[in-house]
Amino acid sequence: MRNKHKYKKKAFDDTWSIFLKVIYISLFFIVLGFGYLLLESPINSYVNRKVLTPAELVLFHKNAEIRRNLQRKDDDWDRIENGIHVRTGLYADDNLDLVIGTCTSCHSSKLIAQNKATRVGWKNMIKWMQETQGLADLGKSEPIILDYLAKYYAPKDTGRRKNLEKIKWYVLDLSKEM
Amino acid sequence: MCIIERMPVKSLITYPKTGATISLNDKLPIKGQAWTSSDHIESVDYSIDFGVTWYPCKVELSKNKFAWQRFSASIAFPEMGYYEVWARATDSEGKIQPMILPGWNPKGYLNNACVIE
Repeated sequence: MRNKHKYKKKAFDDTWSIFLKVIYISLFFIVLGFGYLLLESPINSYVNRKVLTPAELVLFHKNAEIRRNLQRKDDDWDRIENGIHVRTGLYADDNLDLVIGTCTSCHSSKLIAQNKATRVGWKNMIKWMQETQGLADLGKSEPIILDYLAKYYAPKDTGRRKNLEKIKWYVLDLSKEM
Repeated sequence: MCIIERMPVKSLITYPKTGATISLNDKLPIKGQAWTSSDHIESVDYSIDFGVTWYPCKVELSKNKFAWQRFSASIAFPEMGYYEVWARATDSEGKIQPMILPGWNPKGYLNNACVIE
């Protein structure tokens, strides 16, 4: 009686273990299926990738550059008004691109425009930026940039003080205030 | 070069806005604020002749130490013309605002000059 019961239990355990195996195997395939769904598109794009030849790559970058330039033209990227380059507020000049490229990658163009100095003064400012702010040697660009700065952002020496300029005159309404 | 240790005596005319024109018969009311890192603003004067002559403004006491002190004045002009109204504060240590920003201070820190260049 007792043994019979034991046999029955063993048979039950066997059935159960087969059932579990089936579940594990199906789970494995479900996980595999989800994995495939997740990775399908990257795998496909990798398999079907198009390798550009160097010539095609150059063409690709050229086209991108042309698109960027068109975009800039639309946005008045390099518009000049009354001798002032509108985007930066700096004086227009043949060497302005060099100045913009060198100076405004680190700081605002306003930082240039609000300073006035002689060529030596500007040279000292560049030296200071190199010594303390991590500016690299400007090489052949330096004299060109210095010429630009000394020409357009020189100290004003007028001899006597002028009346204040750019004042918007208006009639003060004395009944309003006080 | 020197380091910033304290705020120098300084005043600002806050009314009217620059560019005001009035008729010769009217007096021009001015209002402003002055401050210092010394105990208090002792007096504020105004000039309409580029600093040749100075006349006192009415200065109010501050609400507490280092707070701005209001000043005001009513100015008559002798004849038609271009005028600049300058204000010049004196603090309790007897320090007075300079007329101009000196040349040794090219960056303009702590610019407490009377005159806008």
